[in-house]
Amino acid sequence: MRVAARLSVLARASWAALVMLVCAGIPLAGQGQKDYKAPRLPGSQHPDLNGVYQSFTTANWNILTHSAEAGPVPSLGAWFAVPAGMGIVEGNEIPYQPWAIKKQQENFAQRLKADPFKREIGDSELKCFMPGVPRANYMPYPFQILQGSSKYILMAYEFANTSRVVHMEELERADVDSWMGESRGRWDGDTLVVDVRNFNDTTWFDRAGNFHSEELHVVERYTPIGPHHLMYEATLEDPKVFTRPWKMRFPLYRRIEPGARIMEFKCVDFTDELLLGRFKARKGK
Amino acid sequence: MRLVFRGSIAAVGIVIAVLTLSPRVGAQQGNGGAAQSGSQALRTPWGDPDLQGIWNTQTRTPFQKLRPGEKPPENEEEGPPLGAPGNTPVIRDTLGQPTYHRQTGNGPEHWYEFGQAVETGRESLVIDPPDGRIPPFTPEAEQKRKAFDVSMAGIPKDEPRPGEWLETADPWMRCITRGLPGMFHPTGYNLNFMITQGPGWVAILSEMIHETRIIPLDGRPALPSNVRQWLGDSRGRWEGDTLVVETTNIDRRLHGLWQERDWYGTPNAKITERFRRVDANTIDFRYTIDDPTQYTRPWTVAIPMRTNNAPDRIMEYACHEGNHSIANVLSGARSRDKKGTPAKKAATTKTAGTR
Repeated sequence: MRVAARLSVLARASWAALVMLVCAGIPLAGQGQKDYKAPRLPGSQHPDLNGVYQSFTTANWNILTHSAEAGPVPSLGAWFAVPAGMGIVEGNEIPYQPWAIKKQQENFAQRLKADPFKREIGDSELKCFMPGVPRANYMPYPFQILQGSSKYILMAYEFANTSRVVHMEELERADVDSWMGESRGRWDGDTLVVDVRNFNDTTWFDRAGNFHSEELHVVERYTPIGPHHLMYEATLEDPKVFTRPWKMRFPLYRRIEPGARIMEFKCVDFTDELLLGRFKARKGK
Repeated sequence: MRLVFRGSIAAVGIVIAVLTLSPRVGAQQGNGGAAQSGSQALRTPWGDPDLQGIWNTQTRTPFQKLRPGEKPPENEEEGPPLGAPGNTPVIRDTLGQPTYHRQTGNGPEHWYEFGQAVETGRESLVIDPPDGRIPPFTPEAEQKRKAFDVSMAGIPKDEPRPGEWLETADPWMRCITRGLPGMFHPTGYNLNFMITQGPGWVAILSEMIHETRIIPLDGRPALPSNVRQWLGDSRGRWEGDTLVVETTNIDRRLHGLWQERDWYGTPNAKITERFRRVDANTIDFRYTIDDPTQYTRPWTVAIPMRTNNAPDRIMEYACHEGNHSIANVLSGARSRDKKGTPAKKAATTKTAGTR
């Protein structure tokens, strides 16, 4: 799983200018479906985004375009093989700084490692740790947007019973690191814009070891483009790891089957053997 | 009654630090609900009673009414009485205050929310039976409990029996769940709940462990009985202004062996919760446990949910992510196995006969 990463010669000084350029220059998600007018939440001028959503990408394996290959556990045959898939990154390129390319490769080599005392080793998904943002939105599990009449929107993810509270009001940030970041939301027309900061450096973007630091800053845009679809777009910047901001985009599909719901996927005990197996009593003791 | 402080929470490092560092705005400002005072305002735009906000269930009211002659502990965080068999003596700091590290899984003192209690004006959280006590177990359940207690005699809390692994590790210490309705039970910290509502659903986010319950109000059928979830399968409806939530299909691993403060549930139970907003700052919350395989009659507990002490936000509680405690507990147990050191001996167990 090779990550295409092009080295950039751009100096750090031009960072801010680049952010502006990227943010301004990208066409709006959902362009072409501008005519679509989502139903309003009762008592609100804003669109009703309530629903159970899921992405249908293979990005959790690799956010870049990748071919099919055998899975990491040979005895599982085709069950957990890697499906081929088109990437979700604009330009199919992650603008890593030179050192970060090596780091991603190391991550990939260590992706199946787990140590209960070193949480930074290996892929956090493997250990049932909270997956971070934006990864939570393209994992192969549904999530539910719960938009009521309060000052926050709750996003509830099936994976690991993870959640995020998007505060839609001015609320001073705690400015301490976290797995899912600290989210602040606002409306840009019918688009929900969520600014997420204060991550830790432990989550990855995928099982391929693509990663970020604690300086990751994500700006997400959720735009209704039809009765059952949101276009999801995220701009990511991290001056410690990338040479410039970059974007990902994919649609979120509403689960429309009757009874669609978030089921419980509390995966802590699925990691018993992986994390704590070494503490089993030896036979004969 | 056993008032051992839940030794478990272990884990968590980062987030608790977050809690102590984060700006905590007063509850009146901070409570995020849409409703204002006045009954008309306590409705959502689509006409449901409005329960939205951030609520706290901390209280010092004993779970069960004390028996005649039974003395309440002076400070419940202090744990079992000094010198109780099997207990490490209380370690006091330079100011003479007890430290809270006796139990393997205990968190550091600065996690604890002392002095933040909602007074109920009652002698117990159990309101039915009228004597304020959990009704007797069925003979079969009582037998199981006794066998469990005997097998755990002398084993320090949170630790496995010799040669065992996770067989008796409780789901809270493991950062899986506090169970239902255990998640609402008063404990040391993070007793914060965010309720948000939309047309057709109510969601309850528990800060501790980070657990979200999404309760549908659309009358959908229950899950098949073979499908089990740690938090069960909850479905809600409005009865007047009261949200009534019925929960079944609880994971079979949530059993009723633990003591009352540590009560997690029992897989055969039907749990009926009732949430009614009585004013801008209070939800009257009560639940009824109905499980004829475990208890000789249904019983009901009332715990007020208040904005008192509630923060202006729910912080991320990364429990499993930082759970070094469970690994340390198991590592210690293996070390003890190796040395052949017997588990601490207790003349009587802490758990037997306390009900």
